[in-house]
Amino acid sequence: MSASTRKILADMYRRKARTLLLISGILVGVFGLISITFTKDILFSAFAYTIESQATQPDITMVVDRLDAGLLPALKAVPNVKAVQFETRVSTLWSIHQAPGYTALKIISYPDLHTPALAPFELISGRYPQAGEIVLEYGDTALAPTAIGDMVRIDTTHGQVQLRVVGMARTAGVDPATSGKAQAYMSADGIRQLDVLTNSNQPNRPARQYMLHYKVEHISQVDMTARDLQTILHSQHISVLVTAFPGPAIVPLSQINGIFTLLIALVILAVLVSAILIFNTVTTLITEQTAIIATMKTLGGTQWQIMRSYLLFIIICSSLATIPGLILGITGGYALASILAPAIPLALGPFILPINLILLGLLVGFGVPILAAILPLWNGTRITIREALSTYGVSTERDNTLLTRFDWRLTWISQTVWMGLRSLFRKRWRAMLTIFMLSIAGTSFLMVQILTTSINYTVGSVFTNFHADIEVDLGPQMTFSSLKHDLARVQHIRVLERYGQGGVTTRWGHLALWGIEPQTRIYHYQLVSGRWLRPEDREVVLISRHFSALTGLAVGDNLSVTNPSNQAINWRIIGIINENVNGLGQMGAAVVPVNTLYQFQGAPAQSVNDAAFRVLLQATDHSATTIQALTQQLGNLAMDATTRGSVERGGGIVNVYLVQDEIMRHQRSWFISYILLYGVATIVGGAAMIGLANELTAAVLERRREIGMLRTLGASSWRVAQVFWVQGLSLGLIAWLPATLLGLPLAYAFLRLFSQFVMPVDFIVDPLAFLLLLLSLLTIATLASIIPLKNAARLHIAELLRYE
Amino acid sequence: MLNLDKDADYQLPGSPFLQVEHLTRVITARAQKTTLLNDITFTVPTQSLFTINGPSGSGKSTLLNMLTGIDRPTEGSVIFAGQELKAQSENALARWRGRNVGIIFQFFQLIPTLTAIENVLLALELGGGGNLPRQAWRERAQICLSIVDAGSFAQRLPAELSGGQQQRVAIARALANDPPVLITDEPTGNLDSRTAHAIFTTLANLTTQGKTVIYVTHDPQLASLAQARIDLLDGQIVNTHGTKATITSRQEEVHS
Repeated sequence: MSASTRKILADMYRRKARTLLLISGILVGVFGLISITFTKDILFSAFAYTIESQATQPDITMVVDRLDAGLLPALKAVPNVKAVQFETRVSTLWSIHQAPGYTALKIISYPDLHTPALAPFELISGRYPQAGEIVLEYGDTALAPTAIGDMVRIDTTHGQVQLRVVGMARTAGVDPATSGKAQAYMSADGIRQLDVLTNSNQPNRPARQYMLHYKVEHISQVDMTARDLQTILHSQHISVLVTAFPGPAIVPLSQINGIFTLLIALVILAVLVSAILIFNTVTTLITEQTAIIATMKTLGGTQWQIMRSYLLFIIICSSLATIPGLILGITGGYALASILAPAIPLALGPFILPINLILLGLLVGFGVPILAAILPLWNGTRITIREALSTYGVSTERDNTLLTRFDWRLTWISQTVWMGLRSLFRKRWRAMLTIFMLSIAGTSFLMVQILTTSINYTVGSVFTNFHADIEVDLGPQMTFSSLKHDLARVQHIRVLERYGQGGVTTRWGHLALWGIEPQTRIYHYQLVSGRWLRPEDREVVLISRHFSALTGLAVGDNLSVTNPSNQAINWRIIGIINENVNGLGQMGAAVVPVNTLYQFQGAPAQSVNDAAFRVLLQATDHSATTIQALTQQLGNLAMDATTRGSVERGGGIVNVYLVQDEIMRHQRSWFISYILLYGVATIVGGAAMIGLANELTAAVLERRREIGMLRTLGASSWRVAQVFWVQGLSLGLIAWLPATLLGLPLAYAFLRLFSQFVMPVDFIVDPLAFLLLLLSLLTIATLASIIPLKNAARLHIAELLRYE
Repeated sequence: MLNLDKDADYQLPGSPFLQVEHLTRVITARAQKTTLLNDITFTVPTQSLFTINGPSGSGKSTLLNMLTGIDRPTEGSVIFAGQELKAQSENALARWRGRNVGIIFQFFQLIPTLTAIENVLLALELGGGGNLPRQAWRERAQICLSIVDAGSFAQRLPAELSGGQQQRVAIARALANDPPVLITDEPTGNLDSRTAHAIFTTLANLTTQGKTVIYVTHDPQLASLAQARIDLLDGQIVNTHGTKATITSRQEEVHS
């Protein structure tokens, strides 16, 4: 090993803390970039897998009065039919601890549960169920914490039965955590044994449904194929109660991509911070070794020879950081994707080593440090011997006149504090870069803070226009007049109003759809232009301001949509409203008359005026006690009716939600994104913290003589540490201003991008964010000071005065 | 003009190895001109121990910097082994120094993280290896340490050595590439008198091995032991011994 290599290794070992900080800085950058990029890649490959699995999603679904296995060959023989799947479905209530004490549960069974031809699910833990056992959808655990081995209680016609949970499953397109509707799987025998009603004469009310799913060869001929299938079923005296065309499951690809693009933009900030850290470290190293560089030059060393030896230092640090950074990034990315996938939901494919990302990691891990080091190395090693031997690298001029003036007046401030303040810009460029680095961290924090506040506000605001306390899901055949009759005995109801909720796909993207009574008392609309609904209005729509801005649609234009039966419908836009959305993939919101929505969702035109799929209730007062009492009454009403068996599905009440819970559930569905965003902001903050720690470590090294002098004058460890703590805090404090000035416009731009690619959100700035930003920067400064302060405080006088 | 890429030719003992002619160095700081060296002329005989003597601030170190190409004169010339030393690039000068000049500092300037032998090896690495193949460097480094009686602490770090031992290692390092001239800046200024004399003797002995040693000191007693010397005061030669030198008249600082 050459002497210069040995010198570099010895330098690294001698300044262990600095070497460690530099390695950590590079590691954080590589880790952040690789983990986020890998997470994105995995999710996208899982998405590709899901797209492929669309081949197993049904194109036609029929609800029939009975299933006959003997019909299978005839159905398969219908032209254009690719696959046929029988399904038995039981809709029931699952008793849980949370209010109102139950939740709707859909239990599915296939004759061939292990390998269904269509609509498959993936068993992620446990085993397939036998009779008396059940496999829960993984997302059900968000509604009621349940584990394998637990018992679940479900309603049957004559009381409750208990089923043992033997496994957890994952199904593409099913998200109980957000929808609030549980799903589970049972064996054919098990579901047959459940004592529930089957009423084939009242199509949408039976607890047990028989379904037929079909996959077709050519989607363009799907209508004709459905008719042929109906003909065959009718010829066998099987009644087709409902025919639906489910369409492909929507995975919000561009929105997921949008989130990750924003995350990667933030990670690039972390890489930038790492680069500044390296720049500062190399500058410090070169300054510290000026005399050594001069000696090497007197020994005949050329600039390139000297630079080469310091580049070796960077390459060694890069190697020590990049390799663990890659390993951590890849494993962390896979772990993160594994956590995120079920929530989207997506099924992850097998782990494949990402060669392209490894190359990217190597490029960043080695390229960025070398690039960041080149300038200070070039500059530092260019110094002439005379300059090097005569300089201490410190200006002795006191040009900080403002501070000096304050110094004279503010005599109560200790001199060690002044020492810390005056040494802020002792190394101007390095201090500026440190402030810049902290500003970037602060800016990232502010951007993330504003974005999450805005999302949370937007998601929360969706229900704030509804001055309702409780939402009730009803069976589709439930009439509004009978519901009013049922609820006549229930106390504390001030307003009862029909409404509907759904989604519709337009050529611009997915639109959240609300059906509202024209003369609503519960929905407080905020009209931007045009007019509100009138009782006589049909086939009209009000669109949200965000959607109007995105599409350019205005009052008087037509909005073309397709209903679940594949029919094109045109709605005339009569107004623009302020209305937000709360789900990933929704590009805006629209409001139609409730009757229009019900018809759109399949209610017959002749009975739509009395139809009620969902209702909103406003309590006599908004107190928690009243709302809880009202919820309990509704729950009891539903349970009593079900247990009596006299009224199917509890008088038509399927689910009762507190509106507040609904808001929280939607806000909770964003928590993963918040965690990701704050995670990346933490990575940037971590890199900045390492950078500041490095700056303070350098300051301690450079000022060992001063420390020695302070010690000889009787300074305690705390007084010595105070000098550097003040320096760190002051840098953090100064960084707050550019972070705020830079953060606000960048946060706005960030939000605009988010609104364009992910989901429209309002720009909400919480003044508290600036205080939090300041606290975060001061926390970063304090944490970054710990190691340098300890180092400064434990130096011995003899050692210090011997230095140099 | 000196070809900086070519090694200096060795000359016969007593013939002028280094000639300094009308050397002047003026620095300007804050619109104030200060003359550090004023019209210095002298010659250094080959294979001699030559001292530059003078009190602090007399211009010794400035003159030394001119001789080693570390600094450049405002006027005048330095002729090294018959060829004028005119600056090329810093890198070219560094290469030249590595092969032709061994410099020894008052504060040793050893690399603190390298052992004694590694310090010598670093000089070989940077200075071209004294025309030796790489595998012979370690042996050469050990020989250099032995010449100055430092062979026994080859594996020690500078912090584990006394001042005198460190300076011996510094001399060994200066000898590594077998340069014809050693230039020393107050090499004993940081040492006790006994060690200082020992170091002086070591350097003086090197003249018998073909080296020319230029020795800068403020100690008149040590200076008087040299074969030739000049005495400097306020940037001018005020006394000479055993060398051709011009005694210049005293000149006050020039202010503009």
